[in-house]
Amino acid sequence: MDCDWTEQVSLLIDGELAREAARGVERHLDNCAVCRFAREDFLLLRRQLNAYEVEHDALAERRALKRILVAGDGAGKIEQPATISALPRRGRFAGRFNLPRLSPAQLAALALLLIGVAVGVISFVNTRRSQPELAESAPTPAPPQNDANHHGASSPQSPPFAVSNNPAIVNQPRNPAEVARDNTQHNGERSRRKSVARGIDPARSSSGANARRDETARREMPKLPPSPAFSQSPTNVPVVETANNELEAIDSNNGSDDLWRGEFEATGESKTARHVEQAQVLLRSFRNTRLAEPGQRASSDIAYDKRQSKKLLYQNILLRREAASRGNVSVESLLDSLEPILIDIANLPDRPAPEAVRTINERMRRTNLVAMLQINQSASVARSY
Amino acid sequence: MASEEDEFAVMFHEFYPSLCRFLECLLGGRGASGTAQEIAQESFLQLHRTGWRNLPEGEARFWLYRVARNFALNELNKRQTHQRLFDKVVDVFRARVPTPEEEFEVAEREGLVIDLLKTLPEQQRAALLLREQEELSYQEIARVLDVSESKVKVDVFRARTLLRERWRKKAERDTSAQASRVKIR
Repeated sequence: MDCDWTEQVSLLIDGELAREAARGVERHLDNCAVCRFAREDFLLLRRQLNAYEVEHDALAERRALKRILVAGDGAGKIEQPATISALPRRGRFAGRFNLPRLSPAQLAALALLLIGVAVGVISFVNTRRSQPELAESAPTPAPPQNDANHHGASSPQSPPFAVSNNPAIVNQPRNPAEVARDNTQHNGERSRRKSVARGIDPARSSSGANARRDETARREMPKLPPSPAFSQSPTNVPVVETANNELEAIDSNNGSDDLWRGEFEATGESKTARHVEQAQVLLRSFRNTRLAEPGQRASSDIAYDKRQSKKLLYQNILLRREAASRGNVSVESLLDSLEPILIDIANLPDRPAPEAVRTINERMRRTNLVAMLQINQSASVARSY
Repeated sequence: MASEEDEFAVMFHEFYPSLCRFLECLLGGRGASGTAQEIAQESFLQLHRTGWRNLPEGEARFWLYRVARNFALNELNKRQTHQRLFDKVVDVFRARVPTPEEEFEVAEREGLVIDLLKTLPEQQRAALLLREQEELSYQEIARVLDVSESKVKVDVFRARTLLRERWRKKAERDTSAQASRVKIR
């Protein structure tokens, strides 16, 4: 029953149409009953609204005027425009930021939601933090007691350089299933390398955290391909395996009467500092010796370095484990970097090829091992004072 | 000084009744007459304090209506807040909330256009009242309400259409009620 001209009728009765438009609407009204009814209703509403009268009290009006004049004169001119102060109080904030108005119940629900989200985030962060701690405290499966001996016996001629040249293999975490699988694989180069790695692994990974730190430290080291000179030394003494056997023997004695145990019961820091100093001297000597007397004549000096390196290797393994148990990551990382170098020097043949010595020196240079040892020694001296 | 007060008094007596009527209709009818008078007096007080003589010629009336409407909006918001809180308390003891249709029927039963006015949005209500009672032009209404003239045009038309629909609905309902009463007799 509506007509599109109804709005024009509304404008017409308000006098808001131009003369021509008003004539057009009036002509339409002559032909449209809907718009005529609309106009009548609009006018009726106007009369109804105009008929509304408020109660008029002349006395109250005069009193109100008097109060206004007195109050206005007494207060003087206000600085703030009345329109601003008269703005809706709650609408001002919501209107400025285009926010919906919230009831107290909605505000309470919103607050509860925010609190829940905050608690969830905090608990999530705590869970994430506690996971590494749990991993550190989780026990690592103990290796079989005869594991190293078994592998050592099964592969007496395995190349010891595999330990230092295959860090990924060295740092594989042990688990019983893997050990059992490896026990059935004694043939082949891969199996032999793994068995050598196993030989040193128990000494290295006393816990999951230690294994992880070992892996991190190894990852930072340069991975060099195995040197042919190293692999051509089948008569080498498997120093790593010997060291591991001795370490396991120390462990099995439970500190009853062992020389190493007694020696390492002294203060750990001074032992470490002395060890670092000795290692630094050894590495400098090895580096300088090779530079001063290359070729065949270096064999006698290398023999001394080999002996010293073997001796330091045992200390290094024990000190590294001790540092790991104390949580001294920096010392542990340093000793972990030192260890492969000591192993390689100890495993050098009596007459090493120049390439082999050069490779070790190159690795020392790349890792700045001598400088790191010196820094650690200086820090230890500074702490002692 | 005395002449200034006289001029203000003349202006007061000229605009005060119509301002009270506008505010009373805006706030909901007879029940709001006291609040309407308080807001009207507060608006005149603000006008006096602001310096009404500094306003341009003929501007005082629009200024008054603008400020009074803002005060009325404050009052309506306050009432809505109170009503919401009251409704929440009542809802505890009431089975269900009345629908807008039921509220409209309550307004219809009172039989007054002013009561039907309460069912309109405030913008449309203010625009229609300023047009029908104060006989302001669309341009003047736009100045008072601080909106565009086209919005005033739309608001006035929509207010009329809604009021007309509800008024006719009420009339039809009254007619059917009378017919049923006749049948019963």
